[in-house]
Amino acid sequence: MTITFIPTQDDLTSVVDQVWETFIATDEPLLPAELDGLPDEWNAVVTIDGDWSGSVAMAMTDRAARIVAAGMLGMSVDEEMADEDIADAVGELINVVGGNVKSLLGGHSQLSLPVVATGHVVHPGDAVEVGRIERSIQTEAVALVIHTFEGENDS
Amino acid sequence: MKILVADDSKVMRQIVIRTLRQAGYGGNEIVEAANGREALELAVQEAPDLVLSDWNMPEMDGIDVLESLRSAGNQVPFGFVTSEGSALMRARAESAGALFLIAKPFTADTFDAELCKVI
Repeated sequence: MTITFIPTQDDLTSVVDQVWETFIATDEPLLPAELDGLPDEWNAVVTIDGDWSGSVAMAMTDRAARIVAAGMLGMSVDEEMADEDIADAVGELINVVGGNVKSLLGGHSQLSLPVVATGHVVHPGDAVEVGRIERSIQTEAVALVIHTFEGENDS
Repeated sequence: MKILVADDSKVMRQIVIRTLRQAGYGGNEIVEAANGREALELAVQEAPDLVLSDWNMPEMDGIDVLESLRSAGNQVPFGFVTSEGSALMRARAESAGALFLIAKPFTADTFDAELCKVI
């Protein structure tokens, strides 16, 4: 069975906002934004493979990633933190968002472990963007981007 | 009481432990495992009163940890705290012997609603 269902913008917005509000203890709200391109300082991605094949990725600025890590670890954003802790926090954020997106899709699929990188992410040639949520936290850019892998979903 | 918290993310283990405290279970001894194989070893060595485990982990998935424990006759109370809460996964967790599956994101109230039946 191949799933062609794509979560709506409302579904994705709800997932991002709920995960953010629950796990990231900060008084600053995550606001809707129109970004001038995707931030590329921190990228985190999980892939979903099975009845639906694609990726769920979050991109954010370094400051936004530090806000995420500080919020999850109960630290101040200006405290010194290791890249390892930032990567762990951003990776867990995409893991939870990806798991919730996978639950919206139904069917039989596997969720990968998260991969976190600094810098620009190049997607496979058959990847087609099917959803995007753009946000800002303290004017720092955060984006969720969903891709399907057309070749695998057509097979 | 002793609670084994298994998650490959250190950040998530800290959030789970913080949520346990917020839900009123802060007085319990906590043991941490950073992957599935470690969780299986500590579940035997430490004889916890409850295991709270992630599903997707390196080395060994949480469901494999649970199945290994049960096949060895270990009946430690076991619950999942995982990023996926699909009906399929809930059914698989239940048939393997899990008491509950808490989907992330969770709150202290979510924890208390499940843990009050066990602790």
